[in-house]
Amino acid sequence: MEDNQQITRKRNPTTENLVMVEKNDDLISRLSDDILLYIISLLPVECAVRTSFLSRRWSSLWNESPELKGTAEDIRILVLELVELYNRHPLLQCRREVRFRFGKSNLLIATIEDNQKLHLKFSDGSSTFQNSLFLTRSSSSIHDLAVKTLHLTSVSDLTVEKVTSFVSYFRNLESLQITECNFKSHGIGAGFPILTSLTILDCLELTDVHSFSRNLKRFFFRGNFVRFRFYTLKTSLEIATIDLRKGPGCVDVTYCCLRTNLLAFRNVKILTICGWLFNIPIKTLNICEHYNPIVKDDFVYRNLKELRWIESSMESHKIDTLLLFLHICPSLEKLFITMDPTCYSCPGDGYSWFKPDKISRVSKNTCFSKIDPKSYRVSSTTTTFFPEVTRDMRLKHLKVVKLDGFRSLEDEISLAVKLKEVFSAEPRIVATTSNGKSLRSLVKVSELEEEEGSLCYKFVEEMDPTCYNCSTEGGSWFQPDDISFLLDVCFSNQLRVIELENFTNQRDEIALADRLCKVVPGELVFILQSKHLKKIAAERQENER
Amino acid sequence: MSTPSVSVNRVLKLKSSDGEIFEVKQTVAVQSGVLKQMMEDGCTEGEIPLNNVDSPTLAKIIEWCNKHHDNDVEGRVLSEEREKEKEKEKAADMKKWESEFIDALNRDEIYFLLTGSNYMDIKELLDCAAQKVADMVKGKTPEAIREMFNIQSDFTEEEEEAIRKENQWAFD
Repeated sequence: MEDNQQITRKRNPTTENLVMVEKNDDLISRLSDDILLYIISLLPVECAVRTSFLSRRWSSLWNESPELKGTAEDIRILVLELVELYNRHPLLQCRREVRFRFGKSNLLIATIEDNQKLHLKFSDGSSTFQNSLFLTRSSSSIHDLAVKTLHLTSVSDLTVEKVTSFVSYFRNLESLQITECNFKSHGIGAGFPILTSLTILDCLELTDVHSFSRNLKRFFFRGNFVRFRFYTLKTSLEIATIDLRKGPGCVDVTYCCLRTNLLAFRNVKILTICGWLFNIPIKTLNICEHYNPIVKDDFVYRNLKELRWIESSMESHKIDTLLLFLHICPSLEKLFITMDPTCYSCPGDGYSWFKPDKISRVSKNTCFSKIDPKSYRVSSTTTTFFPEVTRDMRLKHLKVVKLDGFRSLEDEISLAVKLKEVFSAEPRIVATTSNGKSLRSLVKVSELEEEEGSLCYKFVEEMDPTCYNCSTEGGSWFQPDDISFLLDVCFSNQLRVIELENFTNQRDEIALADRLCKVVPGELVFILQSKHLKKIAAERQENER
Repeated sequence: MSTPSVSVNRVLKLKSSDGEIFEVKQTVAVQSGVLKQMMEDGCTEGEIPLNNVDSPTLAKIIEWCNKHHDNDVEGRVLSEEREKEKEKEKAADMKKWESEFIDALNRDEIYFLLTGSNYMDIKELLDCAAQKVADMVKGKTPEAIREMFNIQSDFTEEEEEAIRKENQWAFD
């Protein structure tokens, strides 16, 4: 056998992949992607990440998700390397993916995307991907891990320690989202000083949530009941969504933690909350009260403009609880009530710990349960149930009430009537029921009142395709007669709520809404079929104001 | 056509890209996934052209395979005699031989060995060669790696500048 040690060889030029080799040729870069990726996989993590600096050839390899190996300890290094690298590297602007094997059979897939988002997915090898982690970086100063958005998904017991080890580097974090994280017996302490948004979704093993941020503005929580502590919330928190449809979970719901939780949101402007919180039976009421005397005024949501109330059904005591709650929302402008049968409902007779005299002076001596929720018309004696309330408490700012998922007309009317009777509030009522009879029910409310200013109609626009031309510019979405009719209705009947149905495209809806907004004085509420348009309508309303 | 089974005495004729013929025992050749498949398919009559492997590389590959074949045969006997320690020793010896084998190669020879073993599908050799390259790269700055492999940077000056900054940070 011949063993030629000479470097320069002549190779068969007709065969593929072979080249005339000259001394000092960059042969290694000619290796196939597979081999180069394999070589990269053998490198220590930080070294592997840096091969993208060598040349475009090597940089391009990172489009093909090389697989690296290491230990769980290397997760931190890998993440920090990647974040640092992409913080500064001008070449790596496209999506990259790295697969990282660690431990016995664990896999981490790190993806960096165009929008400068780093996404880490964990898997234990046996199941589908369970755990992921998102980081987003912003272009910021050197030597500073300028991750502003962090999204943790399904960090398990196994990886929680590793994750926390580098998460603490992100001092500039502004937004934190934690989803489906099931590490046991851990509270979540968000110790990020300038965090403005905290979102925790479906972390069912969670017991405690702490935030130390002075700037926390948005808090979104979905899951079981947990204890919240916001250490500097007094001025900052504006939007709180506490979706506890799943029920109490493993945390023992005591009066004291309920109180703490409710106080945590007392300055919010927009609040979403579940009704069962106020109906849950509590044994240790008195003991706890002793340790946590209520400062009564604190229990008024003075800034609350928008309340979204989630309830499982329209039983009378539940509606009463809502009405009680409304007593501590003096500035309320919008009320959204969602009936969700899947929402947790407290067992028992509806005894409520949420008693007016234990909450706030504005709502004492009330007894709502005597109202028949089925009644269409509430007798004039009803007001005697709320002697002080009617005097002290008027929801004079309440303008819109949206009812969602109510089972019957009667329920909707009953509620509307109660709002009027109890709070002297005559908001526009937007109802969406499955049977589509909401229109009539709301007209009925108006007729029953037999007063001026019947404020709510639902306008159903049945579009006729024959008088419809989407190709023409601007004008002819429907006949001029229709528009004049609409305008008549708007002026004469104080029509404020317009629902658009059967429009064939978004553009027409926008055009019509736009036109009406220009002509009709005051505020119009459009109910549109696509979510996108609702947003537009909302923005338009903002502008109108 | 030949029998599908691998016979100890049969020999394959491998033809390198530069036309040289190498004779390899079938029992040795099974280490190559490609040759093994050919043997199973019964199409190993005559010369087998290996167009992507030149003669020096093929010689090296055969040297590797012969060594590992010998070791395998010996190892099996020893394990049957339940002399596990000796087996371990053998494995250590093999590691040593492998590292000496691979260390004796220069940069370009490793390249050809990588392509050759990849082409012939000899996983262990590919692993060994790739590990060698990884060891060479490990712990070096991008500049040092480029120098070692003559990798020409094709980044723009601005990009280079950014990388230099990055490395200053990274390797401080």
